[in-house]
Amino acid sequence: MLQQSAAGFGALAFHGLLSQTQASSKPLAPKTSLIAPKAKRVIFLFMHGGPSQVDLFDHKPELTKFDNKPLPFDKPRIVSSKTGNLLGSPFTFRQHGQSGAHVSELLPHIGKVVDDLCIIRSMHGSNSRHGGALLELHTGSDTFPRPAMGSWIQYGLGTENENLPGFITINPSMGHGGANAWSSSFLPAHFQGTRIARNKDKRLQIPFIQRDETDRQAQRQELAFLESINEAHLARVGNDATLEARLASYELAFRMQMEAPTVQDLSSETESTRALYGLDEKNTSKFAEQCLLARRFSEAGVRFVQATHGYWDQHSKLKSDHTRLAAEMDKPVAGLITDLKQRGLLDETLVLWGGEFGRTPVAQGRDGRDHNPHGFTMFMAGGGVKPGIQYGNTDEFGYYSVENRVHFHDLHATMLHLLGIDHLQLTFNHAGRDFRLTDVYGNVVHDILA
Amino acid sequence: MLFSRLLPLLWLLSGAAVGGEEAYFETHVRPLLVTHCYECHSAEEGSKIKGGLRLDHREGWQVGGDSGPALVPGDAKGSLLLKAVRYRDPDLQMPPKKKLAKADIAVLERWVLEGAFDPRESTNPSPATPAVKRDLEAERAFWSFQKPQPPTVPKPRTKAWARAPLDAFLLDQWEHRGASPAPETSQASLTRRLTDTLTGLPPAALDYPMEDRPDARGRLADRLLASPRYGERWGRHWLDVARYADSNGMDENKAYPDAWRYRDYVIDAFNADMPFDQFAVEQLAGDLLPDSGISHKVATGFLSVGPKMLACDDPVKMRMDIVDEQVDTTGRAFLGMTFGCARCHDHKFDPVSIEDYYGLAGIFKSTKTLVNYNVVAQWHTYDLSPEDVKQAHREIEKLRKQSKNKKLDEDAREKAKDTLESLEAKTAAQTLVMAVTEDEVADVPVHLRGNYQTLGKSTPRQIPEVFHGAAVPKPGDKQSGRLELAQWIGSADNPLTARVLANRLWRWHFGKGIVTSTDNFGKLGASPRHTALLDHLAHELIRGDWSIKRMQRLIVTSARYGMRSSGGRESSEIDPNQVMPSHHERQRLSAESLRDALLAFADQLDLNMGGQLLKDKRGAYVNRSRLNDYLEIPRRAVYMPIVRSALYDAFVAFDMADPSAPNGDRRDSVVAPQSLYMMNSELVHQAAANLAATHPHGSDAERLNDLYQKLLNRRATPDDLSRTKKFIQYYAKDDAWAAFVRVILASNEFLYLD
Repeated sequence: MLQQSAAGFGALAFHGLLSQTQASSKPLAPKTSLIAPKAKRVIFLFMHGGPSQVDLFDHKPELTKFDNKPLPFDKPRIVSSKTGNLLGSPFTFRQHGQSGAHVSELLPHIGKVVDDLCIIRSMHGSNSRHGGALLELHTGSDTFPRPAMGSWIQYGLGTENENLPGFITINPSMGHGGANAWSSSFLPAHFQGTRIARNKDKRLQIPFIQRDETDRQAQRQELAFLESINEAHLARVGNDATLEARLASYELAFRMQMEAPTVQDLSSETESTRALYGLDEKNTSKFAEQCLLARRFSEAGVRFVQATHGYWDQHSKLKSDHTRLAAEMDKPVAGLITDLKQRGLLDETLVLWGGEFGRTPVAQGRDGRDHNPHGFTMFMAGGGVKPGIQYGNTDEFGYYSVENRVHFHDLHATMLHLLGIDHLQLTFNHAGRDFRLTDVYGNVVHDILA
Repeated sequence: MLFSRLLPLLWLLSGAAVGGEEAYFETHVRPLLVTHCYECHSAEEGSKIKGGLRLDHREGWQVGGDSGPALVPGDAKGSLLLKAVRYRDPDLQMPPKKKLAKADIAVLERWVLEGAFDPRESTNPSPATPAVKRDLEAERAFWSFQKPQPPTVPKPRTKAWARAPLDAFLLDQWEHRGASPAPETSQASLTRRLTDTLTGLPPAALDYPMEDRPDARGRLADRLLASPRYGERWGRHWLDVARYADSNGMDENKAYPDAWRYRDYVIDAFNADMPFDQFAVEQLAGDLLPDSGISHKVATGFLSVGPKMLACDDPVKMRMDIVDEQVDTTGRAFLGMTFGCARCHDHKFDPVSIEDYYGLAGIFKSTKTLVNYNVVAQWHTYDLSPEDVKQAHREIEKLRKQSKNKKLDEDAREKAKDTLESLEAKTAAQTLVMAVTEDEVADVPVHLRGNYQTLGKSTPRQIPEVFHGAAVPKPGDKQSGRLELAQWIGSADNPLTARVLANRLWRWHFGKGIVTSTDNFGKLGASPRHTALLDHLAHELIRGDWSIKRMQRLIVTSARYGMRSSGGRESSEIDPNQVMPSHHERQRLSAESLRDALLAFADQLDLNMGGQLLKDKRGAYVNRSRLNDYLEIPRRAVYMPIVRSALYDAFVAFDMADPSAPNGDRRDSVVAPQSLYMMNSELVHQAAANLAATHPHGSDAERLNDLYQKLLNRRATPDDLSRTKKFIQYYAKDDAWAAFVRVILASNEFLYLD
């Protein structure tokens, strides 16, 4: 299909495409280091709202033991709400796999793939509110709008497939920073994330990717005509790299228009794959669709794909809502990891799972937990991280990260490292100084590299 | 202070030091410090001194680092070091990677409680803190810190070409490098160029033709400058710099229902040709002017409408972040200075110290932007309604409560409701203004590393020292100092304002600034491509009492403005980022120009001006489901509400300015989403269908000519005609003319202004 359409537009347009690539790669030449990349792509499964580490991955017997007793040490200086005594997890944990990782009863499917996971139990961030924390996770800053990590990665690595956007975010939250979480900010617009949202008929779609009424043959004629008048214009006004690049950009758009719907069409997936993700089950179908789309985009060469699930913000109704949310997410996530592994893609795809913060081991009301950026769990899988390990620790109740602490900045540095980028070298000059995804922070967590 | 309390105690200790303590220190404490602390807190080779704290000799912890003395002998509670190793304060946890073992913590506790005996003298003194006082005299020699001197207008060899002094400056540069200017472009393309430059609309939407007379260009420019469409176009340029939006955008995304007044103020100011010095003063300190009226207060919306975290559990951080945003935006918007870089340490490149930064921060911290720092915080709003309207609204509030008061009987509630309705119907809306006012006036101490928990010395509120070569106004004790800062910014007494504005005016006419980094005139910014031309323009601006329209008339009637996009003679390959090219540089339609043109072609463009278009109520979060409705607003694009967290896909694709940071230099990118928009968007299809339908008459040639005139402001050539005929004949579907219009809309000739 690709060749067909390229041939349809003639040589000039094709050269234009090349010159566009070259012209744009010069000023934006990626400043990669000589680190050998382990991962080529990232799939980020974002758990919006803040899933509770002590109810999912961070097993704390002491918390159960001291249920309803006061926390024996100080709460953070800055908290988002008033909280009470310790609250034991209402869920039971058991060990899974050869690694023996503790996983809560809420995640039976993820329990089955723990030997592929690198569970980081010592995450911490700086901000106790959704907006700030979400932006810090996505952009490295809870203070000002900055480029999203997906934009930085594209800027550093370029694209693997010109016919698709290089950074896609599926059904993201429009609140808590919204577009700032996939904005290229001061990086060039090429690196902007593309939001795929449900359109009028509930289909997840790239903006303006197609019109249902479009007749392909007619459109091809229009584009050929466009090419001829653009060429005539070019002949009249003389050489101009920008004008030539625009010729190519229509060709690219046309190919995107052809390829993207194919990638987005799940009908070619087998029954067993559909079942693996839970695509046809009522409570998992929505996130299964996102996870499966994420795999298909990633497989087609999209550098950074994000799928968002929520809303994990249980200040109350922890028991019922975490149960429901876990059930929606568990099977699709485990399915994605299994599927990537079966296809031999897990080695080159870094899967990242987690929220903007975790939750407090102390209670809000009788059945709720407050935001907790001081210690929580995220996990990685594939892409050059050690499988089957649990890294770092929180204190005996799961409040503060105390051992092998990993800040968001460290997570970013490590993710870039796995992609073959030195986070200290990936800079962009803006407003008087060089900016980095990790600002002036960040250490690569070498302990978790395979 | 802690240190002076320590002194007598130390004196006692030095006499009382005995062997047991020394043994304890050497066997238990020293190994611990070496293993766990020295890596970041010693002067040993390969180590760092983080936070200014050294733990490799006694004086190191006595004096302490940025946070003060690290420990107080005998006082476990007052010793920061113990606090840090106990890991209970998330802001202070050491060692950062892993908490010490319980036994190790116990060793340190015992050591401190027993007096912190420490025999270590410093053998390796800290490298003297770089007390390098910057040589400000030398720094002031940098080109942009020197007051622009009126340059002599050069006398180029070619006599007939230059129409204005600015042409002579350019021609002189070209002649020196052996280049000659491109010929004048056609009247048709000049009309299109000029109409877009000044109004952002295609000629067909305005119908202001170029007359056939020698002074036609000047006359057309005058008409366009007098059109209200001018303020909409040029106000938008300034709104980019002012990072204007209708929501705070960073967290809960609150609607700014009153921000539109600032937007309208900017548009009105451009239409009225408000002198820029006045425009600057009003935006920074309009509320402090002696005869401050409504519009003056509205103007300070400049400081209010920025992006903000309004949901932050740390009120001090929230406040300082807002101050920082104001310092940074003010610097970049008016002076091309990146003051924000000096929040954590002296600016690495420009002569702006951390003291200078907090001197400015004091001015803005003494300014009230928010009225509280709750989660979610509320910004300051003036109620400037007439007294009777205020009174009526108080009454409305009272009635509203009554109508819902369950304690009253139903009749009373009904009666209240009726009165409420009739009163609401006849009461004018309140004049609510989102803008700043004065707060408690106070200087701000330096925040080491930008952290409010490590405060340094207090700094007076003031204009940065590098500018003190000339006399600068000093803030007093009674007011924030905003007025003094504003008056200094809005004057010819500082070397930057006029240059930065003249450069932006150039950028907004020609697509590229004389200094290409329009918002950075510091050392990392670009050098001027033509210093004398820039200074000449800056002087003209001041000489013309800061009239922007006067400058624009000078620019658009120049020979330079009329040049073709190609055809000049260049001596050799030039780098257009280093020197001024001898031809016009083609510019793409902006996101707004494109949309407005499409609306005009679809015959939907509504030219009503101003007002509140955001539908969210005061105090509400932005309702994102309305965004699609906003897309349907047929007003000019400048009036569409800008929701920071949910920008319009098409606008983003066509390089709208990020509304979270000042931007005087939009990008001009070529990306596939632009093409997708031109191929598949509803608006393009509507515009094409409408044009095709409204031009059904005459022969194909006549029809084609009409459409070319409307879309491209020129007649069709025989080539155009033959090509089009073929397309129409063989097109696969029956709406060939609409398809034809779509193709023209997607073409380079339409999207770019030659």
